[in-house]
Amino acid sequence: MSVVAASAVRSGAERLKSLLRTHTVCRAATKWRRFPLSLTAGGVIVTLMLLAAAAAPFIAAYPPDQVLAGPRLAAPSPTYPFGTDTLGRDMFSRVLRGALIAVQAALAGMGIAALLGVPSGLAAGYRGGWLDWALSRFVDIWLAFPGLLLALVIVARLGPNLSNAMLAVGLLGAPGFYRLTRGLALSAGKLAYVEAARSVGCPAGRILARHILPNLASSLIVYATLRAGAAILAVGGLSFIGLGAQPPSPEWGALLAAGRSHMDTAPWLAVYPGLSLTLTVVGLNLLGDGLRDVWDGRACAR
Amino acid sequence: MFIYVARRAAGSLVVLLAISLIVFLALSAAPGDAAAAMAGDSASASQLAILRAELGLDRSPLARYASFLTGLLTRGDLGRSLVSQRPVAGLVLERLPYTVALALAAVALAALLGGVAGTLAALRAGTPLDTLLMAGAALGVAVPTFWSGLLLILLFSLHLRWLPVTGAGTPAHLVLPAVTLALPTAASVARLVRSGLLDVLAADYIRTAHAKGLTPRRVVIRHALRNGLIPVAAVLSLQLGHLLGGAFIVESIFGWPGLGRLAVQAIFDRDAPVVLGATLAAAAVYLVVNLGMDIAHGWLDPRVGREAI
Repeated sequence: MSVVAASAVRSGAERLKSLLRTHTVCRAATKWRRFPLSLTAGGVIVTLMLLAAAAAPFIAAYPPDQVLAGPRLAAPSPTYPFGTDTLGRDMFSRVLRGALIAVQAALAGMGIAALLGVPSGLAAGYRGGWLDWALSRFVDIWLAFPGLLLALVIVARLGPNLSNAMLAVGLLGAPGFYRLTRGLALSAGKLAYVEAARSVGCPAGRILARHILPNLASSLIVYATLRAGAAILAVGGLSFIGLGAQPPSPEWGALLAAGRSHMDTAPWLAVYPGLSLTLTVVGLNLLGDGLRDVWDGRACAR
Repeated sequence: MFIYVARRAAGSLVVLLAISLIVFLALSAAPGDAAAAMAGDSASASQLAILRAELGLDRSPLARYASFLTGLLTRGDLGRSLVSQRPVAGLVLERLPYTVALALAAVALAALLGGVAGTLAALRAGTPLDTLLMAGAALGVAVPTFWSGLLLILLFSLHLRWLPVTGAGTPAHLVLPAVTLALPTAASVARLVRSGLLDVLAADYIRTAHAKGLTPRRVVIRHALRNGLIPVAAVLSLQLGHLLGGAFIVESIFGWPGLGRLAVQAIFDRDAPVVLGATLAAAAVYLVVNLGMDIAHGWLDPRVGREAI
């Protein structure tokens, strides 16, 4: 029972959403059998993006920051597949390097959120009592900031740069991990085998790490995949308005911000970074949805 | 019911107070305080000290928060902008109507687009139309507003020259920002409507409605949609709150003079009182919208109110 209005509303909506999701998942699982199309498509896109990020220094024809690698504002051509920008930098090399930053943003944004949210959620859900009450009230306050507003305040406090933007996005994502983990740990704590472990004197830390956490792993991995996409979007958004990566960083949001003033004459400056960003997020969403279908499908099949 | 409303309102007020304290302390501890920002680089240490005393910056942060809160509660005073020297409350009230107009337009558009697309997809489930619509929705939730906004400007403002690029004032200025902001919400609404409707369509009472000879249109509109739309209404009002406070990226793209743009500009100007005022206003609006929805929910479904007492 929550003191705070917002939390009740949100958890209600989330419950409804997850209810609906379970139903469609069952239908999808029978339709696609065990291996949904979304998993394949998402897996391929995400793998390609990871490869691009890892191989960027070898594929890219120029260093991402080299000015006058070609003529200024050259249209896309076989030599410059994504064209060049106002300083004659090769956009293909820059967008490729941006993939590496996107991977960092995804890992940092999702990783910080998980590191903060999962242990606290486990503790709150399993122990309950005053600890659960205090943590949950704290999270209510955290979530009462609409949208990215909290990230805005954090960046205002720490100063606008890429690592602060990633940190802010990570802090923003922590309540989601907390709520998910808390709810799952709460129900997992009542399972018979956990009770059995408790009755033979297994210490709480061991129960959480060895018995409860593995039970939650699939749900957490699905959520983390979806959060990784959200983190890339959020870091890109902060960079776009100037509160994240600063020039000459080839972060995709920053590339879009730099390209917008020349959009009329050089649309490729705005098209390719945005396309890469959207494709990556679509890939991560598909992968997350696909994993959920596969893992939940087993539960539905009974 | 009254106790339920009072409890919810008190909870929101406590959260708002906590937010104001957190944001106040975070911003007052920021490197390079207001006095340094006002005096500029050439000021000497003694000049800075005098300015700090004038602004009250030599007192402890908690003491300053106490006087800020007293001013806010007794006179509605949010302090003055360090840049324009104008009262922050006035700046916020000036921007608020723009943010509200944009958020309402976006939510209405998202409900319409998402509702129609989701209903069509559910009624034609498994057909190419369904696949197409759901692929569009998958794209819609992933596409960043700061890209779709630029593409819309490129198409409708620069090439077709139908709509203005940036600014506010005429209804035409509202179209592109509202569409940009509505797209992701419309996409998630479409998914939600589709899955909700599919569940409802499989229910016994829908078969009964069909069996007693109602036209398919009447079954869908009067029976299925009514029930299938309950979760959608909850999500839409939640989104309204988010759009009211979190639209600063779209506001930045289109130069829309709302609250978010005020906050972003103030961060660049190191204008802490304005950042604080704009943030608090956005959080307050969000909490009020949520509170209103909670009360409406408790009123529509008496079980909610009783449960909470």
